[in-house]
Amino acid sequence: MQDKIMLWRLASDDSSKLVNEAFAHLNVEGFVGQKSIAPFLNWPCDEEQQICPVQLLLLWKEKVVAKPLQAIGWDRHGLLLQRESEEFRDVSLDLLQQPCIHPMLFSVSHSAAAQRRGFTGGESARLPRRLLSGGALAPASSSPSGRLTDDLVIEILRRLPIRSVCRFKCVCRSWRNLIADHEHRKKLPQTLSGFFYTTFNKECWPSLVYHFTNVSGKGCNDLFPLDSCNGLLLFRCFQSGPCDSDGNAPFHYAVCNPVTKKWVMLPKANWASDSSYLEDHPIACLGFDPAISSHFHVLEYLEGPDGCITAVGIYSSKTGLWNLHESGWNHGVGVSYGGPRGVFLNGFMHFVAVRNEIVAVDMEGKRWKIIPMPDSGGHGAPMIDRTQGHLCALNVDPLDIFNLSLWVLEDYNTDNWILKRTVSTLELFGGKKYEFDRGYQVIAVHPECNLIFFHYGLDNTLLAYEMDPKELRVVRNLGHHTCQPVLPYVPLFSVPLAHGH
Amino acid sequence: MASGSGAAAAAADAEEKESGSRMITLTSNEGKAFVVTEASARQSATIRSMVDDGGCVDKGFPLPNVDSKTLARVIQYSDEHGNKEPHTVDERAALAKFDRDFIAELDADKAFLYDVTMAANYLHIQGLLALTTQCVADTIKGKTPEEIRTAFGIEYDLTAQDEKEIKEEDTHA
Repeated sequence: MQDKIMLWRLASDDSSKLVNEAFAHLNVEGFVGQKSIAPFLNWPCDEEQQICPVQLLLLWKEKVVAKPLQAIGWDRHGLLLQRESEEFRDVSLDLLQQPCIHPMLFSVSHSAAAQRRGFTGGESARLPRRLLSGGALAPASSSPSGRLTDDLVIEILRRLPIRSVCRFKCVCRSWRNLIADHEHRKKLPQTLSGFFYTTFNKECWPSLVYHFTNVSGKGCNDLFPLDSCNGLLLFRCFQSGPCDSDGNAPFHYAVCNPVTKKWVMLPKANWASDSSYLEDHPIACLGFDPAISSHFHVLEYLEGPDGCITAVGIYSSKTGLWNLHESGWNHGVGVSYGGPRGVFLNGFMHFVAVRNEIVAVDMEGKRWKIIPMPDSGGHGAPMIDRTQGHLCALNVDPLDIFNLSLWVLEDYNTDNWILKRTVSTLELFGGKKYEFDRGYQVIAVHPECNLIFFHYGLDNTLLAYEMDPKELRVVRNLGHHTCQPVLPYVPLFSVPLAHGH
Repeated sequence: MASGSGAAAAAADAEEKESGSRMITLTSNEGKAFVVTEASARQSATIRSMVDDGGCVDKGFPLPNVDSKTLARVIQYSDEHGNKEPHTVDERAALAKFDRDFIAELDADKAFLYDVTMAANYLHIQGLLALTTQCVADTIKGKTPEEIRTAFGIEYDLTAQDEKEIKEEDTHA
């Protein structure tokens, strides 16, 4: 009996008498602090019986070994006892010779399980009764979890970010219950994570903008849209970390379908990003056509010291890999910065190069093409897009720079550009002599209609120009601090964003 | 920190008379006695409350749930924090460095880290508990539920219904 504690129940508040005999013999589990847990063992109660406020007394080696204890509830391990008050009640019991007040730590041989489980300071008195059915002692286990008590798990969980805590609901039932418990919830991470704030600028739309910044100032705040293609968007995400020798921050690419809110982070390219010749980050384009495949490609153009493209890195979402292809264009091709986006058509990515030509490469890096453009007299790089299934281009008449021409390449296998429309920009902008690519920018040609979108002026007014009835409509002011690019977006509802095998 | 022998206890008694600070004996579950200053022992809220209750100091405190190796490490912490209260910036920095080194060493041996965490919880040493549980938290932060189960030897006992509920909770959150 040396390693057992007897649990006695006192009659009532009048604790001078014991009503019943010891009804439970308990393994020494330890009684620590103000609350302790005794293992549940033959406790004579049914589901409805109220335990509180039964007074209990612990006897060990025929001595009262603790102050009167109160059962305050059940824990999954058993009966939860609370030392009632600091004030010791003088218990007159014949069998007690020397009531000793303090020894709550026992020097007795323990069962291995009791040792392994360690002590549990209470806090968990409100755990649901159904846990009772679990029975008495947790089985002896040599795994670390067998030794992690509930309150220790809580101590650990409260130090985790809330995202980890939510994920760990799926660890097991016991963790799930701990996380769901309201008392424990209070302890779980609820720290200040950031601030919502509003900015107002009447020159742009929306004039009221709501922002959130987190306290650490870290996170993927620096997210730059680069390209859009048939419902997907390509971003460059800057990470916190040391900059390279040229002062460029480390980044990776991400592709998103705004409809499904699904994001895909692209792995780092396996070539060293040798940006020593670059004034800026490499130009990247997104190639995606849901009519052909649910997979997408991302292209990165690498430049040599002479400003010519030396190679194109192509990422395939099907393989999840980057492949580097040496330039297969038959002469040096230079890219124009801040210029138009790439256009993905017929399995080729098209891009405007500096010598008034369009260069194209397929997604395997096998076929390389150069498509010469109609002459524009050197007045700005042409803008290319696709409309009604064809490649189209906008440039200015070399004889009249206020005449904007729309060309369409109806037969893709030839270089025969067909002049579809010309527009006088003097008419468009109320007689103002805005120059192509300086005073105004063409953003996009509508994929189905004869509709061109511009933005111009200090406020970057977005205009839609219908060519057939020759109608001009102001969409709205984008605001003077609008940055390039302004990306056209066609929502993609049908196809899930495929990634990997 | 002296341990074990009666000579050490006698020396502690002598010191007590000189300095007026008491020495307290803590006994591991292997029966090994560790004599610590009261200031060091008071790092433990469990022992503190018993000392303040006024008894048992002479008899010492048997700690049936802590083995000698763990207790020695716990005492290393509580000596550092209990015996010297940092006053200057340098002292505080030294204590912070002690904590960093202390936890770095524990971090290398996860099983021992869990032992010390358990002991810190049992003895209610708040600073040590914060240090060790933070270390455990950092270890498991990025892990998947499956990895957690493997690391802690937890059995998967969620039903399909549970999983469905969790999924619903998460989408409503």
